[in-house]
Amino acid sequence: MNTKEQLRLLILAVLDRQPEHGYAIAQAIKAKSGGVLSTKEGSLYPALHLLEKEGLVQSSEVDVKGRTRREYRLTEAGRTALARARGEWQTQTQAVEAVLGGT
Amino acid sequence: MAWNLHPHWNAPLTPELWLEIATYGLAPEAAARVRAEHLAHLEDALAAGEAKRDVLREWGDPHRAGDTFRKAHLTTTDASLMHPGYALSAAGWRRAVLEEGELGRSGVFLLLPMLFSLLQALFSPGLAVVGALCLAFVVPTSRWLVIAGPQLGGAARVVAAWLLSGWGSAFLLTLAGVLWKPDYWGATLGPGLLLLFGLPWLWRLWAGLRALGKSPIR
Repeated sequence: MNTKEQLRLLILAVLDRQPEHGYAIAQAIKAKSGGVLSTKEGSLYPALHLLEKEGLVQSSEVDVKGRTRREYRLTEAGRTALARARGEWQTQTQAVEAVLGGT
Repeated sequence: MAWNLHPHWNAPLTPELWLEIATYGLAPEAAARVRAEHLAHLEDALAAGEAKRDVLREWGDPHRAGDTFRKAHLTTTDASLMHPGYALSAAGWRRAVLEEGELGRSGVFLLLPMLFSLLQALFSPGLAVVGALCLAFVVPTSRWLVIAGPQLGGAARVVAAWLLSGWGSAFLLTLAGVLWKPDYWGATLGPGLLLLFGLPWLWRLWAGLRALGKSPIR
């Protein structure tokens, strides 16, 4: 799983909990990972827009404390993709752990 | 990643310049959405106490972001290839004949005599006049009627606009010329011109149909 695919997985995982707008997604990734992971290189919005194009997330404009924000939520296709990506990630990490544990 | 050519040149771009670069070539609705989202992000980050400089560094390279935005959203080229359609009116017909991106407004009057000269070398003067007029008036008029009459939309409109386009006419006319007088064109000029007109013509169909799959702005 490359960096782009990891970011897609992280975004889908954040949206699986609740609908969020872009800044909140970035903050959630940073906070949940203890500051280890961040959405650098301006990749968050391009990734979100591609996920929306693929029908994995939907977006709509909502009012957040008097400010207009575009909120993203997971679709059913997104949930399915997330479950599949989680499975792939676990298989990969288990494989890496098995190799590292053997040294 | 930005190149560190000189310490004084390493400052992040301003939000306006970053957005200008990242939204270049996007259709106006898509560009407005990208702008609104990024400015809202910046507003939230500043309200949370983050430095503007840090936020802009996290946005990264606007060219890379722009490449992905152009995959996800309609570009100005996509919008023109999908074709906006015509009204069944005199203004609609005029728009079809003087279509931007085909022969162009002034192009019609510049290219018509050139086209006539070229066709006259291949065919009789009568056929040359008919060929030139076909390309300049009959083809756009057919396009206007086929699209505006049944109010075509979606893939049907893309295919109709492509089939009856200036590129298509140029390709078919060249093909007719090559088949009619193969000796006049030689072994390389004829196939070369067919490739010159044919490849962009086929690309326009592919790109137009691909653009239909891009998500509309909600």
